[in-house]
Order: sequence, then C-alpha cells, then structure tokens
Amino acid sequence: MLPFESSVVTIISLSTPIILVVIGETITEKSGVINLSIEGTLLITALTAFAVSVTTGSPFLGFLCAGFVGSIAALVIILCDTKLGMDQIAVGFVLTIFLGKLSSFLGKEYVRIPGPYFQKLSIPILKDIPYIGPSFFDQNILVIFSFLMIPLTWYFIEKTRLGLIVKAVGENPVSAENRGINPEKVRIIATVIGGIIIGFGGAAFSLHAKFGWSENHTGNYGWICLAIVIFGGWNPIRAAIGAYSFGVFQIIALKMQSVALGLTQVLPLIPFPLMILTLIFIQRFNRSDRTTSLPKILNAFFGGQSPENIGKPLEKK
Amino acid sequence: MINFNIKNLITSTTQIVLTAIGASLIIILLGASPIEVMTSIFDGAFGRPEKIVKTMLIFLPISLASLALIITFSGGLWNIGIEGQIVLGAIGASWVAKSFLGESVISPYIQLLVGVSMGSAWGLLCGLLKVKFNVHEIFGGLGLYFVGSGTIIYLILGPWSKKGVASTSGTDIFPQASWFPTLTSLNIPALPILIIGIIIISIILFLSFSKLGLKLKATGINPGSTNKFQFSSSGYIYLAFMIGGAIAGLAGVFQASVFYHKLVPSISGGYGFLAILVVLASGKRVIPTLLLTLFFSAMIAGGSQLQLRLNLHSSLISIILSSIVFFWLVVNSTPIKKNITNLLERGRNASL
Amino acid sequence: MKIKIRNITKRFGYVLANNDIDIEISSKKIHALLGENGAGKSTLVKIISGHYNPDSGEIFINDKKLELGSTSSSLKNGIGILSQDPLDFQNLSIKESFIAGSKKFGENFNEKKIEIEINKAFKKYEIELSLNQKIRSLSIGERQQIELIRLLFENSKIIILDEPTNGFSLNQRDLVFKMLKTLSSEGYIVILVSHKLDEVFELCQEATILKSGKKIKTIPIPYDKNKIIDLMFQGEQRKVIQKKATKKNTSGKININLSKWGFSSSRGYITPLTVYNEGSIIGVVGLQGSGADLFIRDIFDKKIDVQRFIKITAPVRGNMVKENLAPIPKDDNYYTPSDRLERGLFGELTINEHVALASKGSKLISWKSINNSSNNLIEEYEIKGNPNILANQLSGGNQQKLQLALIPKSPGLLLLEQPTRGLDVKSTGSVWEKIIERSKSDISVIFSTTDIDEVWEYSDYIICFSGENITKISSKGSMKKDDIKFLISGLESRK
Repeated sequence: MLPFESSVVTIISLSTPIILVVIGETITEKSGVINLSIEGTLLITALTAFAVSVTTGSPFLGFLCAGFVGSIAALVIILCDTKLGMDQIAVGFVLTIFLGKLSSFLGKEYVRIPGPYFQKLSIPILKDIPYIGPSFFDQNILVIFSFLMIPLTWYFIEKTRLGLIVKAVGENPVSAENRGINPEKVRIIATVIGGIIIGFGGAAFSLHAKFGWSENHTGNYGWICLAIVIFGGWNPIRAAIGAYSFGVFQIIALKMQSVALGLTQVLPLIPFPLMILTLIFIQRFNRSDRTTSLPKILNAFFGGQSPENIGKPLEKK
Repeated sequence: MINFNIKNLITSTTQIVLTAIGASLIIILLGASPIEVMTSIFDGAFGRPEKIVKTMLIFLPISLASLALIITFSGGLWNIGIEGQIVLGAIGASWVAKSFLGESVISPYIQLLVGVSMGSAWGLLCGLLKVKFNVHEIFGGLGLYFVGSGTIIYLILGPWSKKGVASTSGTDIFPQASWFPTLTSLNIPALPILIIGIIIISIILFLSFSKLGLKLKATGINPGSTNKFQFSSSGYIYLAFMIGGAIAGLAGVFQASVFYHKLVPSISGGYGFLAILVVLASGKRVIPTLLLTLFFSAMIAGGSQLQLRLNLHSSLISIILSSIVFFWLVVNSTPIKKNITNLLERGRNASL
Repeated sequence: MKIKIRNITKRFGYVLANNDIDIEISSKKIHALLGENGAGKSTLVKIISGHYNPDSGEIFINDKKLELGSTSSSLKNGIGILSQDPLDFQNLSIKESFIAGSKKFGENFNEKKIEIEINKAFKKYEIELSLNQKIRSLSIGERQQIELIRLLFENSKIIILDEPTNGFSLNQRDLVFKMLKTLSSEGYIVILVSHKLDEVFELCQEATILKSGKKIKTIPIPYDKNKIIDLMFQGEQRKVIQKKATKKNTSGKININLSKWGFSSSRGYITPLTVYNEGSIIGVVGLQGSGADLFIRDIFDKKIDVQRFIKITAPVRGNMVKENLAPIPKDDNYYTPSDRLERGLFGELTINEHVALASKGSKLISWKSINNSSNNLIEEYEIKGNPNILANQLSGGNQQKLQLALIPKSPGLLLLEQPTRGLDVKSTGSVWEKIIERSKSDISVIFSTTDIDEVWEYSDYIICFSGENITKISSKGSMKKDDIKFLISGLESRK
C-alpha cells in the first residue's frame, strides 16, 4: 500500500457524518437561523438510524428515518422562533439536553449489538487509482453522498435562484419581503431541509463512521460541528475542509495511541480542544477589517462573512 | 390593583398547569405513569432525613452553578463553558487534597481558595478569548470545557491514579481531613450551606444595589452604549466571567470534597447544563432560580429511585426537567401568554 | 395610469395612523405626500406596498381593485418602493441583489445575459459600477440609484420614493430627478414622500398634505410656500428659540488643523478655526454618510491625534489667563450618538437605572435619592415619562432629552451627533431649547446635522463636510446660507 493511503481513506471515511452535519447547519444558518440543538439531534438521529436498521434490516430505511427525526427537531426550533417569538439559542439548548437524554432513555436495548451495514460500492478500475480510488470508489453510498453534497450545496447557495433567496433572507428579511419573498416560509423550509441533512449526519455516525450505539454515542461531535460551521465562514467548501482537518486530528490521535501507551484514554479527547484552537486561529481572518490586507486568493478563502441577520427573529407586523 | 395581581396569579397558575400537562404527556409517551414517577421521586428526595441531606448535597452545586449563570447571563453572556469551570474547581480541590496539605485541618479552606481561583481563571480565559480574539463565548467555553475534561481523565488515569490499578472510577478517597466538616450524624454540610447563603445575599445586593452590578446589567443589554457612561464593556465581560467562574469553581470544590470525596471523570455531573435550563426558565431572578433549583435537585435525588422501583432509566429525570423548561418557555412566549390572558378574561366575562 | 386610494383607515392601538384617507394620483403629474413626522405618510406607503393591512378602505389601480395586505400582490401590480434606507443586501454583490427574488429572470438564469442587461441600464442612467462589487462597498446614494433601476427592471409602474434623498450627493439627486421626470412623462406614476419643500417644488406638480393621519388638502404645485407650511403645521405653534447673545469673554479655544480631513493647503481659503468664546455652538454639516458624524465621534473616541489635528482647550481651573490653556480632559467630553437606543442608552433599563449609571460617587445605590434626581431631571428636561419607564418605551424626542439630561452638570465639551434626527418639528424645538440652555455654561457644543436650515439657525461657527473632506470652516457671520448646499455636495459655489 502507498504511504498514508490508508490514513487518507480513513479520514475521508470518518469525516462523512461531520460533512453532512456542517452542510445541514450551513444551509440553516444562511437563512438566518441557528439550530443549536445539533449535539442532541445527532444523538437521537444516530439512535433512530441504528434502531430502525436493526429492526427492519434495512440501513437505508434507518437513514431516511434519521432524516425525518432531524427535520422534526429543526421544525420545533423554527416554529418556536417564527410563531412564538422564542429565542433560537434557548430553544436549541433545551432541545440539546432533551434529545440527548431521550436517546439514552430509548437506546438501552441497542447498546453494543450488531446490525446491518451499508454495502461498499466498488467501481472497477477507478478504485485502483492511488489515494482517490480507495477514498471514493471503494466506499459505501454514505461516503459518496457526503462528498457529493459539498459541491452541490456550494452550487445551490452561490449559483441558484433559490439559494440566493435563502441568502437574501439571512441577510435582510425586510428587503427580501419587499421583493415578494416570504421570509418566514424560506426560513422554515431552509431550517427543515438543514435538519434533514443533520439527521442524515447522525445516521452516518451509527451506520458508518462510529458503527452501532452506546450511551452518549456521538458525544461532543455536535458542538464541534457547530464550531466548524461558524469558523468555516458559512461556506460549505471551507466547512468541509474544516471537517477533514478534524479527521486528520482524529487519525493522529489514533496513531499516537500505540506510541504513547499511558495516554490511551486521553488521546481521543485531544482533537476536540485542538480543533477549537485551530478554528480560533483561522477565525482571525474572518474579520472584515483584516481581510483587506490579505492577498486576493487568501481573501477569497478565509474572508467568510456571517449572514447579517443571523439569530435574529423576524420583525412582526 | 389587587384585582390586577389576582389576574396575574391566575395566569401564572394556568401556565404552571399547562406546563405540568405538557411534561406529563412526555412521561406518558415514554411509557411511564406521571403520578407513579412523581410519587417515587418525592419519596426518594424527602422520604427520610438522609434523603433530604442527599437532596441538599445535589442542591449545593446546582444552585451555585445557577447563581454563576445569573451573573454571566446578566452580562449578556452564554456561559456554556460553566461545565469546564466546575471541572477546574474540582481539579483545584483535588490538587490540594492530594498534596501534603491534604492531611491538615486547613485543607478545606485551601481547597476553597485554589478551586475558586482556578474556576475563575478558566472563566476569565473564556472572556479573554471573546474580547481579544473575537471568539463567541459558546465556542470558547466549549473548547475550554474539552480541555478541562481531557485533563481530568489524564489526571485520574495518570498522576493521580488509584494505588495499584488506574481506573475511570476515580482517584483514591481523599484523606478525612480534606472532607468538609459536617454536623450531626446526618452529615449536614454546614459550611457549604453557610457559604451559599452568603453568596445569595451578596448577589442580590450586587445586582440590585451596587453600581458595579448595574453596570454589568447595562453591559449585558447594550455593550455599545457603555462608553457614553464612561465605563468599558470589556471590563465587565471579564468581571462577569471571573465572578461566574469563581462561583462555578466553588461548585466543583463541593462536588469533589463534599459529595464524592474524590475526583471522578464526570465530576460536574452535567449540573452546569442543568443550571442553564434553570436560569432560562427562571429569567435570571434569584429567588425563582433557587426555588426551581430546589425542585430540580429533588427530582435528581429522587430519580435514583426510578431505576430500582419502576425500572426506568435515570435519564428520564433530565428528560422531564428539560421538557418542563421547554413547556414553561412556550407558555411564557408572548403570543401564548396573550392567548391565555384573553381566554381567562373571556371565561370570567362569560361566568358573570 | 391611475391609482385611487379610497377611505383608507389604519389604527395602531390607540393611535389613528391613517384616518379615512382619499387620494387620486395619475401618471401625468408627479405627486408629493407632504407632512411632518407622524403625519401618517409612512403608514400609507406601507399600506400601498402591502406591508400593512388597513382596517378599512380600498385601493384601485386603473380601476382594478388591489388585494391589500400582501406584498406580492402589490409587486405584481407594479408597485415599487424606494425606501428611506436602501432595501438591499449588504453582503451580496450588485448582480446578486438584482437577481434575489426577481420575477424577471426565470428559474434557470443565464448570468451573462443578466449582466449584459444590467450593464445596459447602468449605461443609460450613467452609473459606473462593477456588478461584482459587494453592496457594502457602495455609498447610500449609489445603493438608492441601483435600487431605483432595479425597480424599473422589475417592471414597476408605480414608483414611490419614501424620503430617499438623504444620502444623495447633489449630482446624484439631479440625475435621479431627471430620471423620475422622464419616467413620469413616459406614463409611470411617481410619488415622492417628503417633508422637504425645496425637493417637492423641484420635482412635483401636485401634493397632498397629511397631518395627524388625516388628509388636509391636495394642492397644485407651485403653491404659496407659507400657506403650505400653515397647512402642515395647522394649529401648532412653532417654537421660537431664543438666540442667546454671543459672549465676548475669551476663555476657551478650539483649534482644528485640517490635514486629517483631506485639507490641502493649496486651496488656501480654508483656515484653521479658532473659537474663543465660551459657550459657542459649532455646527458640522454634511450629507448623510459624510464625514460629519465621524468627525464628532473621532473627537470623543480621541481616535485622531488630538494634539496635532484638533486642539480643544479650556482654561486651567482657577486661572483665566489666556496662555494657560490646557486640553480638555477626556472625562469632560460628553457625547450623544444619533442612534440613541443602539449606542447611547440601554433599551431595557429604566430612567432611574440610567440616572444611577450616570451618577458620580458612591459604589452603592440609594434608589430613593436616585428616584428624586430622576424626577428632577424629568421635570427640568420636560421628559414625558416616569422614573420607572424603560428607555425603549420613550419616544425619540424624549430619548434625546434623556441623553442630554444624563450629561453631568459640570461644564464640558458637548458632542452631539445629529441630535434631532428623526424628531418632529415640535420635539426638535424643545431639544434645541435644552441644548441652548446648557451651552451657556459649557465650554462649547459641537453638533452634526444633515439639515442646512438647522445648522444655519443654531450655529455660531459652521464646518462643512463633503464626503470625507472638510470644504469650509468659518464663523457664521462670514458666510452665506446659500453657499452651504454647494459646499456639502462637493460643487464649487455657482457664482
């Protein structure tokens, strides 16, 4: 095998759920809504996916059900915001706790049991290309799906009329309304679609990256995903790079375990603070006053702008 | 005027009833009986004197965390990093208990000093990240919490591991001298209760009668206006995090030296997050916060009964608590509250 | 084309914002909606645009009934609003802003084709901007011009301008007015909402005067200006502000060196300003978005090198000798921003709490004595409200008065950023009454404004800004009022 090839494959594979989650959250936040519940949504959707696939024998059905549960959580947040004027962050936080504990409560019977897998899709010839082949052409459908979602989401946000409408609502709902757009409807749809994709992300944990179920199975991953979105400058490609960097940290920690025996149980924790640290460093470029001094290419890459109206409720008539 | 107050009281009662109905529905959906669950919890929390003491031991850290959050929320800050500050307080206390001071009678007092300073420093760090590096406190706080929980596991498995074999069940029990002195055979933690009493009074005075507290609230409402009143908002962001971190650190000290008498990996018990729920529901007011904390603590203390008696997973308690908070926030949202008031008004008119 | 507004009534709580309004406007004449703040102009515009649903009444466009309370129905019927603040998207590019929500380009849009079309329109209306520029890099005037072109792109046939000219340079305004006149002659309905008579006379042929939610009268333009003012302010006494006598004692000194603001010595006629009279009022005038507000803020923030560029000195206490002038200590700079709730006050704190924040001395608060001082200040500054009312429950004029009331009594330098922005004539008068009263004991007052009448009426010295540059600095006595509009719009005086 080629040097580091297996590591590259593992990184791509491990990052699958995170990619999906950050994409879902990016779409949500582009419309001006923060779905803070990810930490809890991931747990409950991961459980849903695994439980359904164990019960029915169909991982695909589990995947779809996880998306449905994710959309319900998102719907609660956005309806509390638009219909009841409640704080998005507060509702998101309460849901984080509620859904997380709910997963512990409901998941007792599924702890550490075997379940059905997604089959690998091996494409002959292509799978033999060094690095790329085993990363993308010898993986299951989830990995390929997550990878395709990155350019698709970017294209949706930057190049389609609908994507532009989502952005416009996140920027200035009043202007959007003045142009015949219904900001409330756009926010509801964007948040729910985002929630579905986040739910898919949860499924990608329990059906692929961290197969199976245990209590607090996806612990802390939700928070990391939230951070990646924000520091990733609300750009799906940059967010994906953030997700892959997190995969790199995880791989390094994994490899270190055989070297530093005394730290075996601490090492898996290290990528989390390390990721936050890295993001803090990168975020320094996000500030608009700094970007002007950067070369144009770096500027395009690092110069993320937060949606102007993010987290703010719509003005009531 | 009296009429008006009665109207408020009826509205609140209706809200409480609606919240209870909502939470009961959740319990029923999860396949349990709300009445059985509640009686079981009540019995577990207050059934015997020892149980009341246990409830109190749970009340101590949660109430401290809630008070810490009242300060940071007043400064307009989402201090999700509070879990980390509790962890650091506990590490500080254990450090003292593990050191040569652990055998001495002054150990508890040194623990207070070190634990509180370390919690405060951890809070301050979060404030520095916010002010100097423009990092939102939610993420700075989480990052610091990750560092804290990594450290605690490292310590338990490494330098402070149990004699013989390292295990995630925690360190060795602290020497007796490092435990906080208690009263009577029930082991009532008198000193911690006294300290909390002092903190409660200080916070009420601080927020209602001191200019410092008023400036902190002003910073929370609108940091952009503070320089017109000749004070800087960043100073008060630091202050909020320092006070909040100190109080949270104290909670950590109590967790380690009053509750467990050792350092365990999940030393914060998720109480920081629970306290966020408390303060969201109580709207930053001190007395309602304490009452709600008492209710929460009783639920948690009684919750251990659930598993034994009804064979229900202990996570049910947090599910009930978070759904109570959720429904409470819903019935307090402007449109729903308006509807409740209107309905009551109509009902009154109809009956007349 | 014709738009008929029939018996429109809209109530907000106890306020009757529109009371049975009846207007008919045709495309032949550019129509003005005239009235002071609170007259009901904005409410009427929002009803036409579909943002508000009126309690009763109807609107007909070419005798076809308009579905009310729906923005998309108004848009479909060709109603386009140019709002006071440009309704665009800061982080989008010009091109994206054109496309967002547009009905014109269809689902799968062809970027190249759109670019060509927009560029064609830009050329026609003499706008030179790259379509990939972000909106946030444009001036307010440019953004409004683009918005207007966008409305035409969306086939708007009824164009309503809701006091949009604040950010226009003179040049931009001329261009836009020319455009509007052409549109009117081509059969568009153009409606200008304004309280500026000059503008209305320049552009419109007809005006409807509104007052307290009621239609007073529709009049042809030109019309006797004094009569219009009588109609607009019917039954109201305009406060006449007592101009104070200029003092002669020379005790303070303001010396402004202009290089920071692009002053070039070759244009010799600008000399640094030296003000010797204590209690002088210096007006800084410029269009919305000019350097005038920044000038005030910079002095307060001490962002600029105070020693080099602006030297504001006061007598060293107890020593009246002129040579003994020292810079004013930072604590004696008092500043009130124009966006009162955003940068000046705390919306969810009460008047009492504000007074406590501003009070000097003890660390503990005695709410009883604070309540007393609040009551005194409320009386002294004629604030409508009680000590326990929240700042965000006060009207704009009362918020401004609260800002003034909170300034410490000790003499200082008052820096007031657009102190009367958004206030009606009556509140403006009473705010100025308080400012003038205070100024008598202060070192100096420096205020910014976009209103030429205001700067002329109240200042002893005038500083003119055009864009970021100072174009004139002078005592009022040695300049003419008519020059100001050229000085702030960047044109040389048309002598």
